[in-house]
Amino acid sequence: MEILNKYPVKSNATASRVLQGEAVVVLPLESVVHTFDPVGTRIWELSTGNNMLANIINSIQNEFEVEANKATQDAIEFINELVSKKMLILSEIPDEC
Amino acid sequence: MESISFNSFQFKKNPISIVLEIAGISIRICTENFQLTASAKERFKKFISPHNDYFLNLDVHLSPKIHFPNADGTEDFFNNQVFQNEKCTIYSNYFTGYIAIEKNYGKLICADYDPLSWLEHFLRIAYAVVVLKKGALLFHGAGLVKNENGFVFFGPSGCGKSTVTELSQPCTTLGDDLIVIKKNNNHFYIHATPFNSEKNDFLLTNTNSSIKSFYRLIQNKTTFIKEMSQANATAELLSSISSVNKNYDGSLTAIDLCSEIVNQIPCYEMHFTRDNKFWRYVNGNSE
Repeated sequence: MEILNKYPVKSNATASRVLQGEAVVVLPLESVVHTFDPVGTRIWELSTGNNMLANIINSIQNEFEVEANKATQDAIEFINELVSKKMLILSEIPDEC
Repeated sequence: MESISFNSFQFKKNPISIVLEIAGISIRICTENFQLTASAKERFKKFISPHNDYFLNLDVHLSPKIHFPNADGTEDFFNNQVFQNEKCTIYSNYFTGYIAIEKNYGKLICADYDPLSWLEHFLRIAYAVVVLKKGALLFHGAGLVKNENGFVFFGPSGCGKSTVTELSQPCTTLGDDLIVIKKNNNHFYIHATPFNSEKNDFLLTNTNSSIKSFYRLIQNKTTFIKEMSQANATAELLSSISSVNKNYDGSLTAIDLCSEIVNQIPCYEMHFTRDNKFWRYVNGNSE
């Protein structure tokens, strides 16, 4: 799947903090606040623009002992949802900054 | 409708001024309109400062109908805020104005129909911006004090803040809609504001109290409390701060403040029925 080769990066329109393993993410322009569970938080933390989605999913499989297909399916669904809400951008190339 | 040029509104004679002080933060309101000054003095009487020092000066001008053609109450109120370079500009169908924090100055042009209402609307937004700049939060919540402990009951409109306030009497009431949460010596305090429901205005005491706990109100068929995770509590607190809207830098300050609050002070969901039994659960926590 092509999406697995992309590099998720947090949108500049978000402000976030991680508290006790759960992310709190604010979109000020939309006046919206989201919280993520530990798996979603880890995906969010790894979405630095330097990690290919395939590698992020591998990390999730290892850290949370999740079966490969389920990890892939859930991660893609989560990433697509964040992209649709303008919280994440999928880059073709890694961020070298 | 003519667009408004702020520079075209200047005082022609010496304006009258009053100083409003909320949570130790003062705004001086200057206007040439005697009636507006008199009605503002009455409306905010518990918060008028006898001192002349202030953090921000707000010049208020009334505008003829040409600028606000529907300002006779026939149109639903709406407002929008734009933050740019330390300046917050507020647009509405009944007033327009700005707050320039770095210049400690603001200007409000409002319809001459019911100007006190538009002044109060503007002040709610202005204080949200100003207190956040000073590291405090203008918060949608009811602030109540019992046995020298402060409790904050919060949630969206209609969740029961005014109801909880009324059911809790007699007690020291700092507000049933908007309060200021401010840090002093590493502890968080609730401060009263005048921005509350008119029916409960008589209950208000202009004072402050240290905060014992927070309760997110949820109306239910039974009464119980449930502790919230720090992340959920932070998100709920953030949702109750109006200045988070459209203000990116303010959002970062607000997240950090809320994270600090939940790290220090317990936050619960308060599921309650429309009676004062919920205090048994609050009192249990305060012991």
